[in-house]
Parts: sequence; C-alpha cells; structure tokens
Amino acid sequence: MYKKFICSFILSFIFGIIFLGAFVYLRDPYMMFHKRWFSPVNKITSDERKQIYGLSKFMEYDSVILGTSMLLNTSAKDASKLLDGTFFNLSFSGANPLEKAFVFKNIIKSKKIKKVLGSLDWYFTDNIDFYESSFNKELYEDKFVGFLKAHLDKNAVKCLFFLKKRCDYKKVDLDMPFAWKNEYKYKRRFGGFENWLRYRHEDKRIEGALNSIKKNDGSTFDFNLYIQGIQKWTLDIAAENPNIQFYLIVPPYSALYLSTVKNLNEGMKQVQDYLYSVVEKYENIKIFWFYDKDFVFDIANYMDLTHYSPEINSYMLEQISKGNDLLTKQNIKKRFDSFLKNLKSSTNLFILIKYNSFFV
Amino acid sequence: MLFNSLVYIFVFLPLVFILYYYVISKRLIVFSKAILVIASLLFYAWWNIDYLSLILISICVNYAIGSEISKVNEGQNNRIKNKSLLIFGIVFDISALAYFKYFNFILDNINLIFSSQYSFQKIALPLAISFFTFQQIAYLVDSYHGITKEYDFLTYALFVCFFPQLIAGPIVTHGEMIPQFKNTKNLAKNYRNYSYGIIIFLIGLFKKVVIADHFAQFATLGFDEIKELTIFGGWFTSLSYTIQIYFDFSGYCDMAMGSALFFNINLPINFNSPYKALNIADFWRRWHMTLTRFLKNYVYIPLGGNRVSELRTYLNIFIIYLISGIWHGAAWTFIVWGILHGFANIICRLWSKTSLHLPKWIAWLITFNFINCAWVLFRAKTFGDAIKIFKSMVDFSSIAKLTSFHAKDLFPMFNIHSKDYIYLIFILIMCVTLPNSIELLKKIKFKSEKMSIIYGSILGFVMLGILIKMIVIPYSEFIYFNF
Repeated sequence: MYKKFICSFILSFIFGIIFLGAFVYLRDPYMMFHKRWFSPVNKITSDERKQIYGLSKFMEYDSVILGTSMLLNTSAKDASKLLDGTFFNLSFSGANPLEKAFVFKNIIKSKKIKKVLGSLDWYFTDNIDFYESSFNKELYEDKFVGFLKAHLDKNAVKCLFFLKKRCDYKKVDLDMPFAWKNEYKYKRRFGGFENWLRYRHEDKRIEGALNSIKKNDGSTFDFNLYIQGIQKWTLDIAAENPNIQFYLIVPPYSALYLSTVKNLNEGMKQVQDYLYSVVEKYENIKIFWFYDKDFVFDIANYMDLTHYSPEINSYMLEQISKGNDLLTKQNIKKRFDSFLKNLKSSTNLFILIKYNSFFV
Repeated sequence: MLFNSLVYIFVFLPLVFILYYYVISKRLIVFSKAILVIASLLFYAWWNIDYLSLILISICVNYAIGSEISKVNEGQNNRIKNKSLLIFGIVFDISALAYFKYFNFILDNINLIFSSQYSFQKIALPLAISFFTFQQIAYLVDSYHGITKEYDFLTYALFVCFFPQLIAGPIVTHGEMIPQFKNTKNLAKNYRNYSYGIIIFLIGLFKKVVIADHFAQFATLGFDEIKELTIFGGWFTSLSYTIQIYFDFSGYCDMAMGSALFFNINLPINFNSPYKALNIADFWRRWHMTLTRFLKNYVYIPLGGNRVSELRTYLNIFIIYLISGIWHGAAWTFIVWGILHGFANIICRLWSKTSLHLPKWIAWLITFNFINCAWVLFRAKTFGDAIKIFKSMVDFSSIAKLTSFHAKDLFPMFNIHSKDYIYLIFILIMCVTLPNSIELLKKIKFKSEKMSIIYGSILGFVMLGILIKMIVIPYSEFIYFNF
C-alpha cells in the first residue's frame, strides 16, 4: 500500500512535468519554441515584452528596428528599402535602455545582424540598471526559469488553455507588429490642442500631461544619469559590435514636453557636450537629431506630450537614408542652439495654452 | 543548503537516501552512520565551509567532556571532578556562543555607554550555533546526572549534526535521538515512514513556499520600506509577519520531520497550533516546544522552578523568557521581546490564581494580540521601526481619511489587491480553526490500495505546483536560520 503511494506520487509528478512541458511546447502561445503550427504567424499576443522574444527568434531578417513606442510606427518595409537590409520592427512600448540591451544581445546570439535602427529616448531614472518588473530578463538570457516565468501568469494560462475566446491574440501587420498608428483612440488626438482636450478623460497620460502643464510643475531631471544610461546600455554595446551599423535617433518629443523640464538648459548643455564627444568616435554609430525641425513645435503633430504622428516616423527614415540630420562635431552646437532659441521664442504659445479658459 | 531549494530536494536528499540504504544493504552499518555524518557536515558546509571546523571542535570537546563525566559516574562517585568538568563544558559552549553571537553586540553597547571607540572585525554568526550549543549543554547536564550512557563518537556526532535538525532545530535531546540511531530496526526500509515523510515534507514546503514567502513580501514592505503606514497598513504588516514567522518556522520543522523520516528517525513535534492558545503560558506550550522544554528542564527547574517561594518562582519565569529573548538574537529588541513575554507569563500565573474566568474568545483575542504586538519587536530592526508600526496600529485618524475599501486605499504603497488581505484573514481563520500539520498527518489513513494511489497522484501534482512556484519565485532563507 505504501509502496503504491510512493510510486504513484513519483509517477504523477514526472507525468505532470512531461505533460505540462509537452503542452506548453505544442501550444507555445508566445512563439518561443517554434513558429506557429496551428495559426497564422501574424497572430500574436499583445504582451509585447514576451512576444518580442518569439518574433525575434522566428522571423526572417538581417536588420532590426529596436526602439520604444516612438519607433513602433516605423515601417520595416520602408526601412528595408531605404536603408538597404531586411528589417524587422522589434520595438516595444516603454522599452528602457537596459531592456533593449537584453533584447539586442539575445538577437545577436542567433542572427547575423547588419543594421540597427534604434532610439536614444529621453529616459530619466534614478537607476540606469532599471528594468520593468514585467520584463522577463531570464527569458532574454535563454534561461529555463525565464521560459517558466513567461508561461506562469494569468494571461499565459488563458492563452495555453483557452484557444480563442480568452486569449488576447490579435492579427497584426508584421511590418510594424505593435504599431499604434491605426488605433482610433490615438489617431483622433492628433490635429491640435482641442483634440487633446476633447479626449482628455479617456487616457491617463493626456490627463497627466494637461495637469502637468496647468500646474506648471515640471520636473528636474538628472541628465547625467541619462547620459550614463545611453552610454552603458546602447553605445558601449554598439561599440562591442563594430560590424553592425547603428542608426540612433533621439526621438523628437514635443517641444512642449521639454519646456516642462526645469533644468532643460543645463541638461541640454550636458547632452550636447556628451554627444560632441561621441558622435564621431565610433565608426558604426550614427546619431540623428530632429529637434531643430518645425514639427517639434506644432502640437497638432502629437497625440500627447511625446508621441508624434506616424508621418514623422516616415520622414525621419527618409532623412536617415539621405544622411540628413546626422549629428556631427561641426553641426552639433548650431543645432542645439537653434532648438533652444526656437523653444524660447515659443514660450508665449505655451503660456497661451496654459492659461486657456478650460483650465479655470 | 535550504530544505526549500531544488538542490536539496532533487539532489542532496535523494542521493543521501540512496547511498545510506545501499550501504545498509551491504551490511556496512557503521559506514551508514558515517555517511549520515559526512552528509550532515556537507549540508552544514554548503553555506560557509569556514565554520565547519567550529562545529567539529564543538562536537569533539563536548563528546570528550561528556564521556569523561560518564566514565567518572561509572567509577567512584567523584562529584567534584564531575562538576568541574560540567562547568568547564558549559563555559566552553557558552563562551563560543557569546563570542560568535554576542561579542559585537556587547562591544557596541560598551561603546555606547562609555562613549568609547573600541572596534573589532564584525563576526559572522555561524549557522546553527544556538541550536547545537543548547543541544550539547543538555547532553553535558544529563551526563552529569548520570542519565547518558557512553556513546560511540559517530553516534554522538550524528546526534549533534544530523542534517534534518541541524540548522534550526527542533532542539533534540540525546535521549530521544541516540536510541533511534542505535536501533537496528530503524535500518530496515520502512515505506510507511517514507510515505508519511513525503506528506509532512510537502506540507512544510507548502507552508514555506506558498504561505510564508507570500506574506514575507508585505512584512518586508511594512517594516523596512514604507515610511508611513495607515492603521490598516500597520495591522496588515504586523499580521503578515505573525503569519510569516509561524508558517516559516513550522514549515521548516515539518520539512525536518519529513526528511528525518526517510531515515526512520522521528523528530519531536515543535508546534501545536500556537495561535489557538488561550493564554500566554498555553502559547509557550505550543510554540517552539523543544526550546520551551530545554528552558524548563535545564534552566527553570535547576533554578528551583515553582518549588521555591512565590516571588522566586516569578523571578525564575522571568529569567527563562529573558534567556529566550537573548537566545533569539543579539539585539535589544529581542531582549525586550523576551522581557515582555516574561511579564506576560507572570501576569498569566497571577491571573490563574484568581477565580476569574474570561470567555474563551476574549482570552484568545487578548493572547493573540499580545503575541502579534510582541512579534513587531521581534521583527523590527530598531525600536524606531517597531514604534512606527505600533503608532500606525493605533492611528485612528487614518480611518477618517479613507475613501473606499479597495486595497489600494486601505493599504497605500503596498501595491496589493483585495484578494491579499482576504487571503490574510483566511489564513488567520485557518490557523485558529483547522488542525495543524501533525494532526492532519494523523488523520491520513491509507485504507486501501486505491486510496494510496489517489493520495500519491494528488500529492505528485501538488509537488509539481510547488516546484513551479519555487522556480519562478526564488526561494528565501528561513527566519530561524538567523538564530
């Protein structure tokens, strides 16, 4: 009797492991183990941080767009045409420098990458080694525990056991898998400040942005940490891969956003000095700067303080392909000065916005 | 090596088990004991090999003294020599404990009192020193009283360092362990013991991984990270720790019992539903029962127990709880925790002399709340931290500020969901109403083969679930490893 108990205990344990393992492997909701078997390859989950792993493993490409929500609307097809390569867009929302570094390091383990189009977002933090709790670091290190973790949350269980109804699968255009440009709730906010106001209650970010402008409670940021972060998690890694060409964009958030930064002038000086020291230092790194363009000062091009319209993604791509807007030691001072000068002359506009009657 | 680590469950324990019974099957009985001793020392050295010499010296010295005392006992009745040996042994043990556990604390206090600047390299606390010191003091005292026999060195070493009970107890006595090691019947394979060993080990693992570690995160947040707590946050923090420490330590003891059963060794029960206690004396009869037994047999009774004057009895009670506080850690918070329990026990004794009787639920409420508040001192790193929790627990002004009963309003900064505090209430009710793991174990009967297969299959899947949780949420040390 006791022997039977022990045997059934051990056997059910082993059987459980085998069954679960096989089931997870077959279903593979995040495409981590194989390309889709039972559904189209463009049917993916909205869990970007997990899904990116699968896409990076099983898609065909030799060049990659790796940025934040600022690059989600950048077309991989256009990039392939203009920058010469087979691009795939692996950007994900809120990707911080460390997370992007993990993704990149994982990609180059299995793919021979020629070009990377990346972003140097204004990422302000008090810890440059920070990554979101939802980012599964171990997964991008190909650790077993990472795969386990990936399949052990509520959404994963839903996707594993309920085929269609409960899983958040959606069919996407693999040109830009997580693009937000076609989502009506975002689209309708472009076109002017009045659209921000009209839909302010639908989105916390827009409400937050308006409150921030209203209260004039801009923040003081540590630009030094921003510099350390991009050096450690982007430039150093790029430097370690001299055979890969890096096109890095400083994403043009709205000038209104930067005007809320209290220590902007000192910060910009620090960034300018830093970029001056690195722009021509690495042969495989090109940094692009768009803050001296008019669109940065026109709120109609933004759906909130930071996210610009998809046309700007296309525009930037075109400029990069032509070699325009490249930061060089020669033009860096002029271009930073131009931005700060324009920003100063736009102050009146922002004041008008701040004191618009709806705030009262 | 932790009981709740993969290396222990899937490598160490199975390997030792296989090797032990293989050697027995070859009739190498002494060698089988040696295997357990070596495995235990390896288990100990896993954390820090530097302290392996300490436990070996301690075992050798105590064995030599104990044997010498036993020899003298067998010969002429030379009590003076015996007493000298006993005092030497106890002084040796206490000195080692004092040096490794209390030296830094004493020095810090001397510096504080005399504004001096004496400094000394921080001494790391050797694992399990409090446990094996008490165990060996008990052995020496029993040798002095002629209770022990002349044991062989291997058996004695195994008694001290047997890995299931080495690190955090239960505090075993030679009387309950050595006869089991010597009993040849225990060398035979016993599938009944293995079956119950699996069950109790799983119960312990569940307590630790699923319950204690879950509430540990809230206790850590409340005690160490959140600066200001509301009344709800204060109670949530203290109750989380009350749950954590019980399930952590009793879970450890269950796993120790389960591990020992694989070698046909029964360890003493250390917990008997302590949160069901209706007074503080009752609590100590249910909580860390082997420590209470040690303090009673080797401190309280030698001091005269309750056979002396009433005042001396109270003093004796106070002393054992003070020692308990000091034993738990080198910090004033532990000492005050011990003092509080000492006073509470004195009050309890005084109360029992009156003819007053409280309704059971009031008695329970008072006892549980005292225990819960005392745990705040036990957990807090400083008195400041403890005061922060106490203040928040009576901060009724935060009730007025409450806007809803959602978890985020009740417990700001904790980042919890409503299910977490419902879970806490559920666990508390479970502690008070349901049978404990030992009672549960007694209820499990293998009445038929079919039943055995059903039980085994269910527990196999439970083990799988726990294993997944262990992998996903990295394991943490047991609280009592610090003592």
